[in-house]
Amino acid sequence: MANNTVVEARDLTMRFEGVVALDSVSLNLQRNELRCLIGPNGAGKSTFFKCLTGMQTPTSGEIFIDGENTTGLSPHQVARLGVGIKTQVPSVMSGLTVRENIWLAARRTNRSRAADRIVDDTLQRLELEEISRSEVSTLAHGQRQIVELGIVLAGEPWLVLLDEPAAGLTSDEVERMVSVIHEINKSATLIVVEHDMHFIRMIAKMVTVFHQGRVLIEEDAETVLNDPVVRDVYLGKRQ
Amino acid sequence: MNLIREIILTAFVGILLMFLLPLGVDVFTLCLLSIYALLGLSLGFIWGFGGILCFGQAAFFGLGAYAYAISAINIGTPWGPFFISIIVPALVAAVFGAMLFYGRLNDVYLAVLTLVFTLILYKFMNVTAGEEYVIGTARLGGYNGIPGFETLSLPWDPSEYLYGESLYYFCLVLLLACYLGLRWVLRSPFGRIVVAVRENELRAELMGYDVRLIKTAVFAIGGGVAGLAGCLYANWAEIVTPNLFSLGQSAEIIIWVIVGGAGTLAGPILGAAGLGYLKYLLGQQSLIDNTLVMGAVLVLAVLLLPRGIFPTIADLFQKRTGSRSSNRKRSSSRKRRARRRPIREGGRNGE
Repeated sequence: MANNTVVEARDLTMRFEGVVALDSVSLNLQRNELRCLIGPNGAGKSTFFKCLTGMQTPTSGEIFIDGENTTGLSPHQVARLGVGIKTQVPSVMSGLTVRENIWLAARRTNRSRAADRIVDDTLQRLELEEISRSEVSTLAHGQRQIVELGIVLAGEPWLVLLDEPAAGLTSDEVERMVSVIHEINKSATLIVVEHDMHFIRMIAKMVTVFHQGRVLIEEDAETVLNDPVVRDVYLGKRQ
Repeated sequence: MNLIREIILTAFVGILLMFLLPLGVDVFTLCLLSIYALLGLSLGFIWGFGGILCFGQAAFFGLGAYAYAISAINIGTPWGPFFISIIVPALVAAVFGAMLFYGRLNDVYLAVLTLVFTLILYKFMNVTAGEEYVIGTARLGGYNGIPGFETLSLPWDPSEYLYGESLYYFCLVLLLACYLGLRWVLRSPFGRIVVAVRENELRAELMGYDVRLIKTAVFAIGGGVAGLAGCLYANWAEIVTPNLFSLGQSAEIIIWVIVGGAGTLAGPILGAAGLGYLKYLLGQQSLIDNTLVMGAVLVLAVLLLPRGIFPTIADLFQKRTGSRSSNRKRSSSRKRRARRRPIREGGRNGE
């Protein structure tokens, strides 16, 4: 593994009772890279994401994060390596306030006072101060997405994995999300699983396209988005 | 600051109740009610805050009682067994909980297994009448249970036993101490993480918390508190029998928590003491079957007060005091405006 490689997946295969969701997928990610994983429904990108985060254990193959073999580790063990994870459906503590949600993330690696400081910074950074005392269950979907991003950031991760961060956001919220992602990328490596091509155009540098459980193409964003095969895969045309 | 105020207020209310209750109900019954309250509190903590629905909380209650009786017979003095009766159920809960939580069992399996666990203990204790079932010098006694063990006495005067009024005060002080202790736990970072796990297990895990370990710890704390209740029960009844592990006992604890209000600590205490007293009153008549009334109470509570008695009362009280204080605020701001107006008017007049 090259020194600068922080995430390496080797021949990941995932089978669900005969259905092959991932078929020998290999992927390398360099430090401070922003990588988008795209593909149509059922392409295997979310399964790949779940394997990376420890939510699923691959049938075969290995995953290395910062040189450590994380295959088969639990999500909390992966998170403890300094990995921040945002799931597809906002995974938040609905019965707690925004502040409490973010505090809990900050408290894992910090003492209470330091956690309080991190929470204040995070709330300010994501412009959540006004709703900091609101119970998360009362918030709109877009706000919950941002709160979950706050939870991820408060853990001060060096590797951030985001699963469909723009899903269900208004155009204003998408723009805000784009700027937050760029800001995170200044200090952390990012993997973003996304569906929305417009969003990908706004953030992507390198893109990996998944199709039928395999990596179809891995190139810079411009090349990938103009590739006729990728378009056909998305639009369902045949060559 | 808030926590200290809360502790002082709760301690004050608790002590006040401790002295007022004996005026209406005899201390022998009150003693049992406070033991039930402690048992309800243990399930209220693990279910209401830890999100662990344990159908077999009676197992730890019974284990505490048996651990006390067996060790009291073997040791001969009461205070060592007192601590053993807390440690043994807590350890058993930790080991059993670790098997459940590290095995990643979901809620339904967890409920079933905890129920089976208490039923196994119930069945086993019932068949231990033979002479071969001995731990040290203590015979398990099967269906007849274990009588004749040393009960709690004053540490500085072993001839002065805790019974009647003194046992009642001892039980209530322990109930108050456990309540305040659990409140403190819930206010601590650990307690906040416990609630986070209840709210969203996956998120807590993605934050890096080991959910399995946290749940095991919560289960062990609940087991220890239930064990303490069992120890006090053994001292109150002066006999322990397999009925402590019975299905009826397990079901009753769940009913106490549901009726009192899961998600609070005071609710299960109120539910256990209230329903325990109702059961005591119903036991004095033969017109209606006791279990029928308890079932009806549960159905009515679930239909009419789905959140439980305590949260409903607390909400009503909060609304009333809230509206009163906002009325006060409104009227005081009206008064302030009224006071200011003449000054301004006076000022204008003076201009």
